Amino acid sequence: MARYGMVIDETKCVGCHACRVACQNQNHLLEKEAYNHLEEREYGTFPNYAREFLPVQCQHCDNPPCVKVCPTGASYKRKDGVVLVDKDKCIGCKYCIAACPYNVRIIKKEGYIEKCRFCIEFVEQGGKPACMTTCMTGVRMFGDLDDPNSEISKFIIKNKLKQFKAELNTKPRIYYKKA
Amino acid sequence: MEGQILIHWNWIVAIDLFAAGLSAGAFIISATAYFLGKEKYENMTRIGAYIAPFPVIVGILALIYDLERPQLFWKLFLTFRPTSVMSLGSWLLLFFSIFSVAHFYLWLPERFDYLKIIQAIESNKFLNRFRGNNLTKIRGLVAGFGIPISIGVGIYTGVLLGALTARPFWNNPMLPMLFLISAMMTGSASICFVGCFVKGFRGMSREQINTNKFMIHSIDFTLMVFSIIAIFLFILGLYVSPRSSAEAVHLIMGGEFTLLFWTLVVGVGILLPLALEVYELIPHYIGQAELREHNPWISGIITTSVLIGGFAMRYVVIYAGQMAQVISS
Repeated sequence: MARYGMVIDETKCVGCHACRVACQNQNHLLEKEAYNHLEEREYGTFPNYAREFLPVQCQHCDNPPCVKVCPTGASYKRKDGVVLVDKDKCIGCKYCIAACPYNVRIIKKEGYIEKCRFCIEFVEQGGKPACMTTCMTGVRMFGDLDDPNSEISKFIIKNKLKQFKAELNTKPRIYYKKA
Repeated sequence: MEGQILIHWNWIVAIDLFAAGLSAGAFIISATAYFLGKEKYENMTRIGAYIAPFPVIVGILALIYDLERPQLFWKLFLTFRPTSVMSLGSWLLLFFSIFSVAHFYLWLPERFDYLKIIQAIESNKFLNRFRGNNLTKIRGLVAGFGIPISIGVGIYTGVLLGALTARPFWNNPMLPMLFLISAMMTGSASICFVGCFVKGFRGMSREQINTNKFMIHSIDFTLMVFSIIAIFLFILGLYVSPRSSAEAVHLIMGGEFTLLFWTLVVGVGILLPLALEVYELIPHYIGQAELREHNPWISGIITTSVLIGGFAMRYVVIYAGQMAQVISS
């Protein structure tokens, strides 16, 4: 069984939002809805100053707070690690939105909660998540974390990577390469 | 843009937390008064029993209305998920509603006894157990089992928010305690309010008025002291926690909700009624003097300001909690 994960190389991101548009197209989202967003940060004082773009989407945590707090079991985790929402079970209580530290869940107009699904239908057919397809600098890397020969596994071993808000014990499955 | 701030839970949720707490508090006070003195505090027990079922029903309706798909709320009762405070809470609210309605019914006057309304039931061995001669026993059982359930409801409203590590303003063990104390305060205030203004003192001797009044004021006084301690520890707890919490506390210490929090929640909700309680009680405590003549203005101000403060507390906590974010590099 594959165990899907993603690497986001923040140093390459130029902040063009192409990933967001691709995701919206793929998932038929409205203009204001998005499963991924960019957080812009500025830090340091002149002249040691830097600005970074942090692409954020569902981290598909190994210890997902949204799954824990869901009262109906609509948020669930598949065996391959992808966290999904069963829209027939979701009653729209928004408790998972409050519980998610990454603010990546949105309310669809039909009244259920949805978020990044790693484009799992395409991945299962051998494709890639939509956010990767339009990225001009190749920020994201997607693959099987259980396969030691996969590109992503080798990259994780070679580089020093961080997980976002890892101190909350969510065990995210997206790894960030920081500047 | 560092993180997005979106408010998904608004004042409707604050109404639910307030109403559920109010009901739970009224039930706790009513049932406790029953055990402390069946005849002595009968008025408090009865009024509490009459209040308890109604706010919680309003609260449940508010909660259902706030769902994105209100028509599917029954799915909450198809599963039981011990890790989800929302699931635990909806079951608790269900049982609490049943108990508070039962408590309400058992304290209705004799003429509402269903055995008297439908004579035929009297011969039914199962149904005639719940009223009639067994009334005292049934009242005691409902009150006794109801207390832990209503404490559970009072705590759940705080744990619902406090269990989320993602929201530093809420993620504080003192929050559920603060909510429980506030729930009992609003519960006793509502009993006092109904006792003074809706039911009135018709047919009560001066001594009866005094015992009931002394009891409810003493409860209020104690709870207010504890709520000051709880608020102090809540703020201290945020200050001495990691950076995200220390930043979050600025929302009420100089930030957006400072005025609302310190005037309405602390000033109107605790300090003003506390001062009036001191005025009422201290001569009695220290000089063992007779209680002051009943003054409807004092009781009126105490009760309404406690209720306003209780709602304002839920309101501030709901909004501030969603605005505070985890800060991470």
